[in-house]
Amino acid sequence: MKHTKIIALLLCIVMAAATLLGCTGGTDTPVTTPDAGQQGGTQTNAPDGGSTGQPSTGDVKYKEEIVIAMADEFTTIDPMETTAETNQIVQDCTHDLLTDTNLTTMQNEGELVDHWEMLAPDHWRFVLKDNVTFHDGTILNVDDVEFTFQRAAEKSTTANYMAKISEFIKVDDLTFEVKLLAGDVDFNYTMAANSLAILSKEAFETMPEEDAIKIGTGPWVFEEFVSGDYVSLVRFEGSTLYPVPNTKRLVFRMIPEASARMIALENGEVDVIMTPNATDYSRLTESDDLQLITETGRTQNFVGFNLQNPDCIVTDPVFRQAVAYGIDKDEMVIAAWDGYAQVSTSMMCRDMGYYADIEGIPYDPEKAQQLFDQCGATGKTLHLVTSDAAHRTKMAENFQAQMKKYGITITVEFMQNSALTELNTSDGTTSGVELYIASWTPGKNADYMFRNPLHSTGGRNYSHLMDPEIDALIDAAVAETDTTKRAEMYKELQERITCEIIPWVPIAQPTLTLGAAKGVTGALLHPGLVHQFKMIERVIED
Amino acid sequence: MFRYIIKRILMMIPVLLGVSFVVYYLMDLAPGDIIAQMAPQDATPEQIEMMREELGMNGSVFERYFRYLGKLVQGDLGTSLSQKRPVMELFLERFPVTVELAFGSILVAILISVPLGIAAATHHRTWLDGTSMVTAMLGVSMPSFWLGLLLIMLFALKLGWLPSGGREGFAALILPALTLGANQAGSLTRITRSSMLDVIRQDYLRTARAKGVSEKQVIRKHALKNALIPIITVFGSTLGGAFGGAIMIETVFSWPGVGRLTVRAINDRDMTLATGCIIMFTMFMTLTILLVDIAYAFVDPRIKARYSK
Repeated sequence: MKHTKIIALLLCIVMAAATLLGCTGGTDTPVTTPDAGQQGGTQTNAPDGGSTGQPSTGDVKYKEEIVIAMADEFTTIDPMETTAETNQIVQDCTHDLLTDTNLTTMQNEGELVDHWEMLAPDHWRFVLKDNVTFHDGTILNVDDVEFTFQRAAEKSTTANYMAKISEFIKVDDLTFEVKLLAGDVDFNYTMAANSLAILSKEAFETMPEEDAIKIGTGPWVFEEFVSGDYVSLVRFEGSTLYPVPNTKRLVFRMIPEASARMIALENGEVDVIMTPNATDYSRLTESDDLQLITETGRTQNFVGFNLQNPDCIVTDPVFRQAVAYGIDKDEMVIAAWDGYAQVSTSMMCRDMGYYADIEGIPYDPEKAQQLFDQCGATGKTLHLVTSDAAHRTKMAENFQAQMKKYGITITVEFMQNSALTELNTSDGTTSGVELYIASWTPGKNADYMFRNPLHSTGGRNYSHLMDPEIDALIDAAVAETDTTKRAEMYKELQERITCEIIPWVPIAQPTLTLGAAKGVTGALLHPGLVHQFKMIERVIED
Repeated sequence: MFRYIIKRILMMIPVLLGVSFVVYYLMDLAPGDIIAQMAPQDATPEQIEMMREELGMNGSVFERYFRYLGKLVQGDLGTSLSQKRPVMELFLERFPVTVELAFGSILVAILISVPLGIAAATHHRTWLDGTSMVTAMLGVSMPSFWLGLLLIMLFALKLGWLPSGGREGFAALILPALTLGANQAGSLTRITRSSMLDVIRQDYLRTARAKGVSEKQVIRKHALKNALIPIITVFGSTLGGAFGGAIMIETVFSWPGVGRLTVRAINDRDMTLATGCIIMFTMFMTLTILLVDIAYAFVDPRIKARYSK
């Protein structure tokens, strides 16, 4: 019996020691990295970045295979079957759009289109780039665009884009015109929707649909998909649109756990990880072998009010103004994103076209207390709903603590994002929602920023804002061809929404992040979260 | 015996119907609308309705369930709402991967628990018995995800001997199988020990010893065979535990199995995929338990004799 106790004690000590060993920080211990040979070998290229793809005698060596760890699962290569960013990231490597956001200049530019012209707000002409090759060797022409549009009209994910078009006119092999049902001076942005990637008509005529859908014009060719495990691509040697990438093979591995992704990166099993934990940022920046790639994000996080909730103080504009004055956004940014976010002064995202640098409502706790007292909010209890995402949980807890200082009790309910979406899109008068925390990612143009979350017909109008003046202003701005007048309209919208109506209190735009091994370049972070890896490469040392 | 097997197979039908209804109904009760989630951010209410109809998600939960059931009895598990692919195809893609992990973990569990249980029983109330039991208790009580992360840190990050996740090669199976197997080994060790203790006190073993048979032979030839019979009965539930545990382990080790597929379907509110996976799981489990029962009848001559009469 005595022996048993001693053995039990020894085992406990061993387990405790193992735990401590496992929990020690990773930065002060050398990381065991398998040699490059095990990871797919290397190739050499000329230092001038000639991107011939052929080994040369230059001294710059590129890793042949790059592995990117994704948090969510890839499910389909068909661009029209999905709006999930994980799928679109892979599709962006294999397929191209007519126009797209240049992630360096943040401007909408032609991708397959050489140039375009707005003949009238409801009449557009596009000219395709010449001699663009599909993976099957065929050359892109207007018939491919028309075929893509016809297919898109039949798919629920894309039908709303096509519903704008009244007529498609083929002018010649490379030129086409579209007539719209209503004027839209931002129609070129519609062509940048990821679901509208251009498909090869000939491929669909000669191959089964499941094979034809893989044929695009991107710099990467679909190779293999193992459900739940990985999807792999190989470089497109015959591209006339892109230089041949220095990397030969691109693998997207699905690793759902953030800690497991971080370990895989530290262990050298992957080269890039998406959405690292904020708690791992310091490990990435302090490591000699790793790097944290950052970019200003375009996701507006905010505290919102249900303006249709009867008999609730959130419908009182004075209360909403008081909340806006009362939130210390800097404190919330530290609590929710460890400081990796940009405080918002306007409800519009910073780097978008027509953003006006308005002052907004500054943090003023005394003014807030005065307004809370004025509207009789002090001593009241309000209910806030949000999703169980880590940063929203922290935002909600911080908001709860901040409001307590003003004598307002906030009860918080966390739910899955799908449940939150359902609740917020249901009838505002009966949903019971008072306050909520959510976010909005306007991947495209200014109209997109306002219309969906703030127009009375918007699909994501969670605050149930029903203001005919705001609706009219949004509608007028999208039809205005004079850019100066348009800028004034968007400035007015920002000021009225941020400072007068206040359906939301904008908090911050979190920084976009990727974890990567040292030497990785060409990974571009997309504000709409469809990050670009078209020209990713990793220079390795001898 | 044949009638018994037929009867057991027929009993599966109400079980599967009950499971399908409960899962479908509970999924419907859970808040969250997959259509609203799947729709583009700028989708109009008309577009959302169009998607709802296209995916067969219009009508009351009962209407939808009976539509689903109509296809189910024809062997059609429907199409995944989120992945737009047949559920059966998705399940069959992932199922062998989970089976690989489950059987790997059971192999680990057997390799650990049988020798440990026998050693504990034959050295009853000694330090070896105590060590075995403490180890078994640790195996049972340690949370799998915690043990998994610990093993990843030690064998992948610190020592660099094994991959931290994925499914590339045999090496990738070791850590997840060990993590899942450790839990199973704990309970199997305790069962093996108690089963052996029962057997080694039997008169026929005393007779064998009295006839001069060596202790090793007594244990190997006479005791172990009989002691293993009760262990076979727990094999079914152990396999069930392995499949259940695989859900957690597959996430920690990025193992692309059915467990992860089911969790994702539930999170996405993909009713057809979640219901389909759970129905297939249930069918597999009931069949396994049936096979174990039949095997038990064949292994134990007393039961076989009873059925022969």
